Amino acid sequence: MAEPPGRPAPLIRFEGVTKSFGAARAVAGVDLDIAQGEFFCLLGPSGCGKTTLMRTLAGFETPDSGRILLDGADLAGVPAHRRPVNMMFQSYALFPHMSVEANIAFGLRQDGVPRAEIAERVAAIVRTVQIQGLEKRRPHQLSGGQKQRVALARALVKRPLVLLLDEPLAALDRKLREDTRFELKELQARLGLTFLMVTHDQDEAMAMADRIGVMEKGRLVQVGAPAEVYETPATRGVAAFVGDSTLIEGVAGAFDGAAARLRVRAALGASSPEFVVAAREAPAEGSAVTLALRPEKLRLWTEPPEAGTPNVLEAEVWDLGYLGDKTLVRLRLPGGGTVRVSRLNASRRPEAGLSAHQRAWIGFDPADAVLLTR
Amino acid sequence: MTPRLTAFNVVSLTLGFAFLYLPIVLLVVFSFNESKLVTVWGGFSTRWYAALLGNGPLLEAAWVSLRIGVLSATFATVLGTLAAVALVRFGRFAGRTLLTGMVYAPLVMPEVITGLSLLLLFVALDVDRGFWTVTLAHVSFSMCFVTVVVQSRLVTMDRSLEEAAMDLGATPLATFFQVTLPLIAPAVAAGWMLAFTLSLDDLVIASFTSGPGATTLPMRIYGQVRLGVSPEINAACTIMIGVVTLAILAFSIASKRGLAEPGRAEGA
Repeated sequence: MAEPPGRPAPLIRFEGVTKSFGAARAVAGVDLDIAQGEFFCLLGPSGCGKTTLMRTLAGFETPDSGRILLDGADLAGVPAHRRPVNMMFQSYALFPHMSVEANIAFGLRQDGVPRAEIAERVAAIVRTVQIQGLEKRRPHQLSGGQKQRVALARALVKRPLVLLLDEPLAALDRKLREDTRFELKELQARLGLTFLMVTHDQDEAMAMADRIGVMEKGRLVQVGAPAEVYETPATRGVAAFVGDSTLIEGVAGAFDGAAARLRVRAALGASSPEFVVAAREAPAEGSAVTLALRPEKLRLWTEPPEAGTPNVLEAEVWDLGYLGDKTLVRLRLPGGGTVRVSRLNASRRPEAGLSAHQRAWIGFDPADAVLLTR
Repeated sequence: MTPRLTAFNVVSLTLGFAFLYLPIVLLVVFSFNESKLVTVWGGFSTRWYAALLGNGPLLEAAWVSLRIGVLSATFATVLGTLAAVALVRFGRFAGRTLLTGMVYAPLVMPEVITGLSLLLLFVALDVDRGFWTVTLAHVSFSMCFVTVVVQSRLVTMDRSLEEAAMDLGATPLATFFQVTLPLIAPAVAAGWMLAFTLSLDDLVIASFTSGPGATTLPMRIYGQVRLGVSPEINAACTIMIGVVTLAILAFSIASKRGLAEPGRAEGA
């Protein structure tokens, strides 16, 4: 492996990994490097191939083509039980006929670790995940949160090179899920371990991961830090899946290179307003582009804004969705189509001066629209 | 949901149970008959049970049946469990459909044909017929019942439990003995009980494949009845009903426990 100097070799490397089930292609040529100590998250809708990709690393699926390297060694032909990775299953997969203690010790027993050391390491991990006092219980005597901790302890006690987490928080209720996010993240940082997580929950991915890989129909469409994926989605699919976006189709117009501004003729039903958006380079004039507008970045006025404000549209308030911390306003555009705008409820006064079917104006700063060409 | 007891329900229930169990009840009742005449009630007595203890050939046949039952059930359970694991866990391997068909064929094969074909095989191989040929024959026809019972348990077992074991470093063999087998144990026990009962009951196949010195209990009883029904036979049959009933009860308790066992679908 010829690595550019100054960059450490990745701990995990997927090279053109492809896996099909019959005619269905689950993973289609994925290339990905994950560094030691990184918290990497594969994000995507169900059926996008993220779980299959993780299972190829665990050894439960064999790629049809491509290679997987772990710490520089090719994993081809290495069975699951000899791979130095451990997985936390979505269902937790705790052995129902064994106590919590026996569940955690299971992996160490298989490796022939001496009895005294097993007891020591089990006791240590039990303290780490804070399940003291539950050692003698059976899995069916545990709550969902406790089961999750036992599953975590069982995977961590073997000190794997990589911990794989398959939807680790999906079975927990909302409050517990949010607390556990931070705990997992903190644990990962403290142990300096590499985590590879799979989730369909974008909040979870954003809150925990150092980097996110968004998957779509078996392909890895974008890899980047959470803010990067959110603020500059690479494709329409990413913009639609990660966070909430209103997508507006349009045609590229003239490009002003000096100001890095592009004119876009939007197609909003019958009307076709012209917007000015920030663009680093110009797509071919006349080519189809999409504008992705985040609800929190759109401005909303109940009076016409002053002349000269860019990218203003007149619209009609359709309905108001009160979510507690914010209110989601859906507006109808005159030519058809809807736009979602979110307004932060920073004070306790109810949404003043906004009601359904009233006239309103929305607008966005040229730099706040995402220009998508793919 | 408790259905109401209408007159129709009560009558059909009574007739149904009478049809199924009246002959058995008669047999049990007359086994306690004082009189030597099978159909005439002469007062309560356990003398035929005492007489049974003195009936050497009958006791010997019971002993033969018991040994064949235990041995054949054990072999059938091992083979049947292996077949079930292969069918459920190995996915689509070459010859899977063939194996499925061959495993299930004995379920529907007329016993006369199974018995006759085994007899022809043993004759062709020039094997002395006796204890071992009956045992082998019983293994071959009861194995599929074990497979059915174990298979139904395996398909409902959470596959990720086995994956977790392998992920934690257990070899496939260690995974089977430490995770899979303990979890399907109730079904395996139930399968054993079923195979044992089938072996104990069998007359047709045993008649074809048995030889001198290996007369099973059903064969002995059938032979004696042809010379005339004695109350002694009633007593022997009552004991057999008791044994089979106990085995069936144990079977159903074992499979109920299997159903109640957690760990089939952990989590949400």
